[in-house]
Amino acid sequence: MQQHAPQSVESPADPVLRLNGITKTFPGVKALNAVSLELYAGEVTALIGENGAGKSTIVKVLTGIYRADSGTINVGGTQVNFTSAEDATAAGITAIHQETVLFDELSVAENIFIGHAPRGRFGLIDTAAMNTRAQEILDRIDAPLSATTPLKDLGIANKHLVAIARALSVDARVVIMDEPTAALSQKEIEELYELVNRLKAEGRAILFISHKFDEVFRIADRYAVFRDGEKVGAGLMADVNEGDLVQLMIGRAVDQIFPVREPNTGEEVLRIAGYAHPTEFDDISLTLHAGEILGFYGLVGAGRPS
Amino acid sequence: MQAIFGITRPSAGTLHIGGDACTIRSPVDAIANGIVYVPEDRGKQGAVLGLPIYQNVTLPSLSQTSRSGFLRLANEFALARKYTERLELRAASLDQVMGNLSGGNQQKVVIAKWLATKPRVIILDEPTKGIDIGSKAAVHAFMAELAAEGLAIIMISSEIPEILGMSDRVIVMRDGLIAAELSRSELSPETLVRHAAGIGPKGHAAGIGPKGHEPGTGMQP
Repeated sequence: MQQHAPQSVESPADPVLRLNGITKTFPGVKALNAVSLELYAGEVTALIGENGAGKSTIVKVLTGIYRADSGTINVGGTQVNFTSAEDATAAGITAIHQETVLFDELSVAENIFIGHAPRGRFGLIDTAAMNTRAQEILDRIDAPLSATTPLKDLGIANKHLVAIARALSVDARVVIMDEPTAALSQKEIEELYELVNRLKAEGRAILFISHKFDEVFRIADRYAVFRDGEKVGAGLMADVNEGDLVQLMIGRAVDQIFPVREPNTGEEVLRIAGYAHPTEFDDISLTLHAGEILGFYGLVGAGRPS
Repeated sequence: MQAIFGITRPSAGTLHIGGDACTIRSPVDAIANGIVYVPEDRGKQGAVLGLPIYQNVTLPSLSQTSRSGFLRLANEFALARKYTERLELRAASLDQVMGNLSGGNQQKVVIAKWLATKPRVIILDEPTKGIDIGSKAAVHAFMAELAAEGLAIIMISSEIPEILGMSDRVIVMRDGLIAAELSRSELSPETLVRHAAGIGPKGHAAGIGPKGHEPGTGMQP
């Protein structure tokens, strides 16, 4: 597969990536039902939806981890058929996950190029070329890192930059960011937004998955809303407000039938006051009574008390 | 929730059960105090897929089914039958290996297992995730029945219909904090999502995004 220049020659109106009629079924569940999605060069498309709406499934289809049961994927106007994650990478699609696997004992450059290191004579890894190219990528994203540093010497935020550099090392025309700001501080989030803007300016198409409405309105050009495995809306961010997106996410009336219950709350059974944890939760107080059903709701990644 | 059941330890805070202060250091403490937890990931945390149904049900209740340190098969079957029948478990026999059951029926076995310990509080983490509609309805009906009998239930769910349909009260979480506590009369899909996503109430949301009067193209009603 040839290397794709991120600046595509297609007219701006043509999507870089076009999914059409993608259906993916798991035993008992239709995870995606005839979904279409288009991503455009130099634009950020926000993918919005409740937990279980099909967001992660579509990402896995796009990155070659799942094979769709039916439907087509077009990259740059050519239909592609991904049988593996390597196929998707070769077609210029890359994903930055929260939990990208990195190796502490390897250098920054080795982490960036693991699996696709430049090879020299006799197929041996060309360490010099690898370090040079890794440093170029790090400099391009303004990462204050040296390519030869061992990864274990870096803090969390810098490891995140290595993960991003790794995603960019394949010269992707489509970059998927799955909840990229979930674990970052405010300052790191600002830096990530700048990076997103730089990727946009380079003409890459970005799929940005987030449930934070403020960031979606800040950085996205377009939106696509998924619900129950279907795309229920898509368009330009400039044409919608938060209320519109919330309505799309939750959809219309509930059609499931639930048992009729007589509220029958008795004495207090459980009381928790001021539960805290260094990283997971803080200031949790609740009471629970006999005969009561207490619901806990939160969007995934929102510190739902799992 | 795992903190209440003793899997994760909180760094601060107190817990009272029936008015008495308790420290839960492990799941064993939690079970002894009448708190049980039905996890979301049944395959990893809830069910022993290689064991038959009856052994899965009786696992935390072996003191009920054994005498002088020997397990009584008849007692095990009796206990397993009592609780799986209540849940309308669909299986060929209680000898059947867990791994061969559907997700919905596995969930019923895991719930049966914990009910057999006669808890006061049951924590259900995504009780109907990934199970078919029929099994969902059976689990919901059973939850309502348990509540009517006086069991206290905490139901963690990311499915709005389930939250709306089943809860007496709802706690909405955001970034590890309680964002809102809503009574049944205050519940609506929109309130839930707004609190969970950190958007103010209607009318206060203005000013963040550019506005248009018409929804974007491609929307369905």
